[in-house]
Amino acid sequence: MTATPILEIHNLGVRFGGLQAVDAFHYVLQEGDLGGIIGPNGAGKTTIFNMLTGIYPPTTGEIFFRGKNIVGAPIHDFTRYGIARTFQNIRLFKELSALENIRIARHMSVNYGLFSALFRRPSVQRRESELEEECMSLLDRLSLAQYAHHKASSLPYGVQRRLELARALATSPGLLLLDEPAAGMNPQEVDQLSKTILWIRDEFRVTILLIEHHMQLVMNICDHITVVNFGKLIAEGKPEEIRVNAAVIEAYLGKGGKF
Amino acid sequence: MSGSGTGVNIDIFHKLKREARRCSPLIGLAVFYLAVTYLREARYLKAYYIQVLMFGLINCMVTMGLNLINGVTGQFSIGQAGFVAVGAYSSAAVTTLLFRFNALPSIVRPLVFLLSILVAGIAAGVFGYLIGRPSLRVKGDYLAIVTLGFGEIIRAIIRLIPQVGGPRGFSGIPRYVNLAWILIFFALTIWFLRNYIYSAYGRACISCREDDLAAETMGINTTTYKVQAFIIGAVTAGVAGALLAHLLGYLHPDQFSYIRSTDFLVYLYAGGAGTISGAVVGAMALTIVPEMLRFLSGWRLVIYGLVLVLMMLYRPHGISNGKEFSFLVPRLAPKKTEEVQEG
Repeated sequence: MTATPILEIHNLGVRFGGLQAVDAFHYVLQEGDLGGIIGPNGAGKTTIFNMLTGIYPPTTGEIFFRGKNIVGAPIHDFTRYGIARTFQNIRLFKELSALENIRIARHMSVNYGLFSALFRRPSVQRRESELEEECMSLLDRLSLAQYAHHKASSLPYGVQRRLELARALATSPGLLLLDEPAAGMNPQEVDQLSKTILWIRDEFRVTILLIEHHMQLVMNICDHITVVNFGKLIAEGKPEEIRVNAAVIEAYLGKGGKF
Repeated sequence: MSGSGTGVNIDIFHKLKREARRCSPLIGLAVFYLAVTYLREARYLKAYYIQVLMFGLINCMVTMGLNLINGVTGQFSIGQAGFVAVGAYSSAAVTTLLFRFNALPSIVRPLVFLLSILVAGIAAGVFGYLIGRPSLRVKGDYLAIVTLGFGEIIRAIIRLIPQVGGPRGFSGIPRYVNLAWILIFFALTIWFLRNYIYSAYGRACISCREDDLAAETMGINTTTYKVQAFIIGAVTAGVAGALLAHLLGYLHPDQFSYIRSTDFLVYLYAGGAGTISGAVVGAMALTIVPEMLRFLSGWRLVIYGLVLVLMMLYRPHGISNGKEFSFLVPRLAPKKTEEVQEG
């Protein structure tokens, strides 16, 4: 029995002038999996994410999401298909409240037309009330309800990260891409984050793909790990296989290194 | 959802209260109109003051349109006077060239006038699309220059059309507009723009302002909303232009130069970009203040400039400071207390 994988990447490559940032990248992610991509700085991890969300058009290759090739679609369509992401350097709507951030992310669930909006028909009123409840309930599930009316930029760093996660979840994604979710966190916060990520996968039934530097986090929670360096895939496997993989150790620590 | 007798009563009471709240701005406007008319009849108010008031209201409308483009959607357009020109000239063409307004029986005059406003709105909207669409390839300062250029093109084209007077100006436009007409359209503008801004559409525009890329990754087609903002902002300016044409009775291309566009920008940023209240307060205050300073003759513009400088220093977010008058913010239906909260 072979179900269509939620994400399938064939021969993906992108070239920026003279730099082959990503080259012949293959990847398969099954529904419900928690995949991790690791690699040294500048290995092309974020570039892969940018191609998976339509920000960079790839030079070669295909991206199949639920069996459909989505290369070439505009960024917002990637989100419509069901891919959501967070950013390495948080990109919240800083001047808006946490609640507004979530409300904007629920945009695709709005079903009234422009003319109804202009005349503020009762259907608008109704949908807006529902929307407010949906957003508050989502904030509540991620224990962010107390910050609902705080300006995003005024929130503590860890809370901003969580809010960005909540905002990505608000688009009701099938695949959630996390770009260095543990960046700038202390060990306790990373521990907490591991739990949160696993909880999100089960609670929201999303497939998760994450990029991370933080080895421990990746090793602890990912079902399988892909290692890239200089835009190329160098290893793939379960955490315990990656831990002892010679090519990986070399990429990270140089020859003769040991984790 | 079963309500006891008292529950129903409370429901009706709340409903009435909500209706009263909903209508209060309208009632306020009607009272304002009656008060001004009374004072005018009683000769407390000179016709000149009412003229200033009418210009102020028209400026408010234009600035509210600009607010949608610049303040809400975060695009930097400085061609707003161009849209006003399109509206003014096209509506004047309807009432002057298409119909002989003054020869019409007085019953059809309002209809023809409304038609001319419709034409003005559509024409300005088309120009808004034409300018908004290609302009989206550029951002920030570059967009400003493109819109400036488009505004000037509109003015240059008007000069080339002899039917509307070309460089001599367009005269003989029926002076049909009075305070009542202007107040009606002023109220409609506020109502429509408020409904737009406080809907998902307005939120999408705000997200374009806050962070384009993040907005796209929320599934928002930012191009659509930027163009939409341009079109709605232009339509607003066009309708205001139609009122202006029929208030003045005479139009000249130089009335719509980029200096005029800058005026609208100043109104907006002095009042507070991003809020309807800011646009209205800014445009009204900065239309009235220079008139009040007329007794200073030459020093008038110096003081006006000084006021602007001081305001930007001590109140950089404008008079409204990012706050909206509460009656402009639509309220959501009250929460039903019986409903069980989902965890």
